[in-house]
Amino acid sequence: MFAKLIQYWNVFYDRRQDFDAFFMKEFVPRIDETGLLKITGSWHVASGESPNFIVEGTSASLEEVETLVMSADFSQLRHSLFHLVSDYSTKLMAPTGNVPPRPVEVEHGFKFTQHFNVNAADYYAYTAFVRNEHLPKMGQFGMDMVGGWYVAVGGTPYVVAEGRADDLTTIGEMLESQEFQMLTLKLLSMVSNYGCKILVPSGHVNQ
Amino acid sequence: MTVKFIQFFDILPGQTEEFRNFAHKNYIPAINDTGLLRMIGSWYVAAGEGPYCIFESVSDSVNNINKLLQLDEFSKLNHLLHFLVTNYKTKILAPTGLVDTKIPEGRNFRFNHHYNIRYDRYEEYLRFVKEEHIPTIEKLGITVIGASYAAIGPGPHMVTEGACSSVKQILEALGSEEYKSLISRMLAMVSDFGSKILVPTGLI
Repeated sequence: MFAKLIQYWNVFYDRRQDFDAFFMKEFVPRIDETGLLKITGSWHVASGESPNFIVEGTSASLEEVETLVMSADFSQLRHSLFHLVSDYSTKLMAPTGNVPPRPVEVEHGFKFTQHFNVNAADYYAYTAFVRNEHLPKMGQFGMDMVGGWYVAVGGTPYVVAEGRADDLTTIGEMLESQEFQMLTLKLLSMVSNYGCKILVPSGHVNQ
Repeated sequence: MTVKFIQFFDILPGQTEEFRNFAHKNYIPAINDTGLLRMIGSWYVAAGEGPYCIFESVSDSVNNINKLLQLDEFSKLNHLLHFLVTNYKTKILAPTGLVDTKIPEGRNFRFNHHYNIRYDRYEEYLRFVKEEHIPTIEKLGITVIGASYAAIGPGPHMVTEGACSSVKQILEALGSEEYKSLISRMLAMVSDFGSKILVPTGLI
């Protein structure tokens, strides 16, 4: 089953040049070389909660990600990373099945992600809402809905809906619209701990 | 001194219309009629963490807010409000003095930063806010309308408020290298950093 590993951190400001060099010359290539995970994007959180730097990697299976994170090579990379960043955390995510995964070599555009917990009693209503209303409406706003994920390992909220836009104007127009407000209010009747983030490329992996 | 009273909440499932009617016809006019507080904004969080709805009110003093909180009328109104909302919490925000508080006229959108200051970097933070943070945000087209601390209420304790005529303009600023660099620098001086884009609900 296709899986995604998300790593979050804040870069120490006075080490940012060392971080850039380490991240580009060691962290990304050495993870990619394992063949277990492909780093597809790195993002700056333009709006939402920190940590402020997000790295996204995809893999053919949860097992491959687990093999990677248990390896001595990854431990060594992470140890080096910890000299350059703070507030490190990870999430291992698997598809919910609502959106077929579409693996990419390298990410592009901008992301708008919504995260929440589904109220247990509303699960079937939520599933119908996502398929019949949420995904089609987000498409009408110009968002390409590229992922529906649950957190297999990591902190809650445990569901992430991931949309991509070619430009920030598309996201801005959506956020200003009354239709988006109504759609979100309907989603909120079935979920808790709702939040969302706008991600822009950090410039390291994807431009 | 202008102080703000901020109310955060989520509307209960199935109560959206009821809430809008109650807020528009009863809650907002009754609060304004007390003369102690003026409700100036009703927002939804378009980007950032919940709760999803925010009421923003201003008063001339913390004392006026305290008087309001003790009014029977306010207790009754809030009792009714609690039939329609959940995750309710409040904050009283007082100005830090770093920015003159402004109340924008007409339809506007907000972009707020919230964080705690690392007190071992406090002097550096003050210089940074005056010399870099506020000028850069304004240069990017967002008017800084307030810098406040949570006098009462949950953290994060510092809030910097910006206003703009469109979300598109806010996002243009957020997509710039200048903004990314500014936030990287800021993160060296603060913790628990986050931001919110607020869009008017149309109730006020």
